[in-house]
Order: sequence, then C-alpha cells, then structure tokens
Amino acid sequence: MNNKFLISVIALNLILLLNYLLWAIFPLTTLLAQALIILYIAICIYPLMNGRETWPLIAFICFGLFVTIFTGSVGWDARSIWLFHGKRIFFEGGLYAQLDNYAAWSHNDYPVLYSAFTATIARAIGGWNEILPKTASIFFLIPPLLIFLKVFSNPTRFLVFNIGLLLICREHLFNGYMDAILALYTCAAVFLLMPTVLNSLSIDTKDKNIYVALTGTFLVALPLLKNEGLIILLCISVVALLFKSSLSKKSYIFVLLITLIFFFFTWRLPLLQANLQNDLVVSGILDRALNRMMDINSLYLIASNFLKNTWITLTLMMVSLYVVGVKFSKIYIPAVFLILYTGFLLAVYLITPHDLTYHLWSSIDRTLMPINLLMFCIGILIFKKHRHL
Amino acid sequence: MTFNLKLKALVLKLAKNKKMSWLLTIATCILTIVLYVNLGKFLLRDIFIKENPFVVGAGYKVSYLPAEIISMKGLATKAKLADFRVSDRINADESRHQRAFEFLYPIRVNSQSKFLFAMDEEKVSFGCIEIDRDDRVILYNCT
Repeated sequence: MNNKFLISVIALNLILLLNYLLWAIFPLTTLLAQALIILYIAICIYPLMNGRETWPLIAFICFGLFVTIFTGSVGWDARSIWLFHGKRIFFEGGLYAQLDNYAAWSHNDYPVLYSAFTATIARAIGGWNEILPKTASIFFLIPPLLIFLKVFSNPTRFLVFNIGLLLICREHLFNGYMDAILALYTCAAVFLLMPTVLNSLSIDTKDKNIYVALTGTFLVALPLLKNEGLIILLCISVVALLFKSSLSKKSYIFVLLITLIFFFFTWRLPLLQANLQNDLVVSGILDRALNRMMDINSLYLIASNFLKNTWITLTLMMVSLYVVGVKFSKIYIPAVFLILYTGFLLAVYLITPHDLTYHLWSSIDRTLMPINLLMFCIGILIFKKHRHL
Repeated sequence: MTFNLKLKALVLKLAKNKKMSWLLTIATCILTIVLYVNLGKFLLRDIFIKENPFVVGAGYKVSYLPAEIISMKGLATKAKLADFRVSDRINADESRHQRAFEFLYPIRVNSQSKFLFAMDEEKVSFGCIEIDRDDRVILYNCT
C-alpha cells in the first residue's frame, strides 16, 4: 500500500513534467489538456482517500481550490511573470513563446513548468481567463504535501506543519506566485534525501528504485520551477554527495545527470540560443559585491533583514533540537543545505544591480521561504519519534 | 535534576500522554481554522461567486486592473487590432504599462503601430484621427 502511495506521487509529478514536455513539442489540444487534468485528479484520489490521516490535506486542498477559483489574479509577479508566460504559451501554442523577448520586463529567462500548466488549464476550458489558470498552484502543491503527509504520518503533526505553512507562505500559496511551491518542493527533496525520513517511510529494500524515482521527480522539477531552483539543486547535490543520504552516491549521480540533461535540453539550451540572460547578470558583479562588503550599512541591512525574517523558525528549530537532544549528525543534510543556500542568498543581495533596500523589501520574505519552511519542518520531524505528538 | 533534564522529562511526559495529544490535535485544528479564516479574509475580500470562473475572459473585473486598461482591451478587441502603442502618460505609469502588455495580449504593444491609446485630456500629435473612445481612453489612428 505504501508503494502505491509513493507511485501516485511519482505519477503526479510526471504528469506535470509531461505537460511541460508536450507543450515543447506541439500545441496541446483541448481534449489532451482535459485528459491530462482528469488523469491528474484521478491519480490524486488514491493517496487522498488512502487512510484516515489524510483529512487535513483534503481540507487544505478544498480551501485552496475555493480561494483560487473564486478570486481574481491580483498578485503582481503572478500577473506579470508566471500567468503572463502561461498566457503566451496558450496563445502562441508553444513552450518557448516568451523567448522572442516580448515584454522584456517579464523576466523571459524564467522557467515555465508552472506556466505550462496554467496554459493547459486555459486550453481545457477553451480559452484564457483571469481566474482559473492560477488553480495550477493547487496541482503543484499536492505532490510535496503528500510527501509531508506521509513523513509526518499523523494528522496532528500535519496540522502543525499546515499552520507553519500558512504562516510562512501565506497568500503566496494560492495567488499564482512560485515561491511557496518552490519552498515545498525544496523541503520535500531535502527530506527525501534524509536517511531518517527513508526509515520512517518503511520502504522495502527491493523497492528502492521507487524511492529513487520519487526523489528524482522532485529534483527534476526544482530548476524548472524558478531560477533559484537550479541553485537549490546544486546545494542539495553538494550535501547529498558529501554526506550519507537515503540515496546511494551512484543513484544520486544518475538522478542528477538526468535532471541536468533534462533541464539543459528543454530550457537552458533554447534560452542560450535566444540569448536571454537573467536581470542579475549585469557586468560589474565583483565590484558591486566588494563595495557592499566594504559598506557597513549594506551589510547591516542584509543581516538585519535576514535575521528579522528567520528568527522565529530558527528559534523553533534550535529549541526543538535542544529539548529533544538530537545529534547534529542526524540533521547534517538539511543543516548544511541551509548554510549553503543562505550563503547563496547573501551573495545574491551582495551582487544585486537593483537598489539594495528595494530589492530586500520586495523579495526577502519570499526568497527565505525555503529556509523558513525547512527549519520549521525539521522542528516537527524532531518530535516525530514521540509517538503521540 | 538540571533544568535541561527537567524540561526534557516534561516534554516527553506531555508527548506520551494520550489526553494531551487529543488536546493538542483540537488546539491545532482551531488554530488552523483561525488561520484559514484570517488568510481567507485577506484573499476572499473580493469574492465573486456570481461570476462563472469557467467562462473564457472571466475575472478581469476583480483582478485590480486599472479602468483605463479594461477600456483599452474593449476598444482594441472591437477594432480588431493586431498591435497598438500607448501615450507617454500611460507608459510612464508602471502598473498601466505592464498591464497594457499583459492584459491586452495577444494584441501586442508595438512602438511603430499606427494605433495609439491616449487619455482624453492628453494632446496627441497632429494627424491622429479619433477612431473610438471608452470613458477616458481614446483610440487614435495615426497613419
């Protein structure tokens, strides 16, 4: 039964990836778009109806659907980037519609795994509108949430996680932004690589391939969700190759190769051919970084913003570690990942060509979502060994 | 017993108590509902059940689009434009500028287009003929 659950999650992720690939090959027909969505919903039924502990997730999905179906698309980035790219895919009938660099301010270098699904939803109803395409968020939230449901394996723990998720990601879960989805995929991928999680899922050794495939689908999705996803993948790869993870080194390298090849040929190569670059890649990176490192005000601004946005989850995680007395060796993978990714974010703010105050103000709560959510999840995971909590 | 050990013992005792776990479940349920309501209040303030979300083109009235952009879409669709440009005044406002690109798509913004959108109080160059207007927005043909 456990394997069927994990296979369902693999299938859900594969549908999202298949949808992306199909748009790269030809414009989806209405019938095919409807078939993909119906298939996704049909596969969802098994893990959601499997066991009594799934009700908090069902409640979460119902709430999310209610919000996304009955509200307009308001979020700035959602309209200007993710939904706009979806609209372009829908009208042009191809995954690479944005590579003509029309409306350059819409960050045409951003990957389109999510946007491709918004286009599919529009195709399924026969046209674009300002409401329904953003329900794609729910389709992307379900696979990682199913993993957390299985890992926490108890409605109370999942509810506690749910509370943290709502507090950390807030409206970004449902308004067409990618940050919450990226945070959930990141946490799911990091968790799946932790041997503690593998043990708690009680998977037979003969079914190790299913687990490899499951981890693989989350890793493949990461760089296609958002540009930060590629860095997250690199950080995860460093920890997975440095420390003992739930995947053998050989399996991980195999999965990583597939991920990088898939990303390179389906997105990076077309981007290079179109000569599109990220807005942060502006000449003088080293000068800006050095100037900011020498400027005490910039350093204080970055450090204070980081602390202000992470102190609660950091405290929760530290207190949990202290109270339960978990050995640091048990959480090497998430801990080192957190350090690496925090370092990357620090570097981004040091090199940003934008006004530092504005860049921090407009993005730090969203860029720190994977860090905050992971620290919160570690806090819950630590308490898992106590049966009734 | 040190404070650390006392704290650990207390937490473990509470964690292993079934009544406590039920209380915790109820408390987390209540907190989750409170959060849903709070988030819902923010997200659902513009709920529009009356409008069918499965209809093509629905939802623009509740997506905080500037009125001028909605007028532009109506005018551009009516005139069956393939492209258009906007006046300097509309272009200067980032929200209007980006929404003109995004909301009117697949009708494209093209700086060379002969079709110009301007506000009614704006002066346009000589030779531009008014084609249509909606509220404060005027569509000109500037051949």
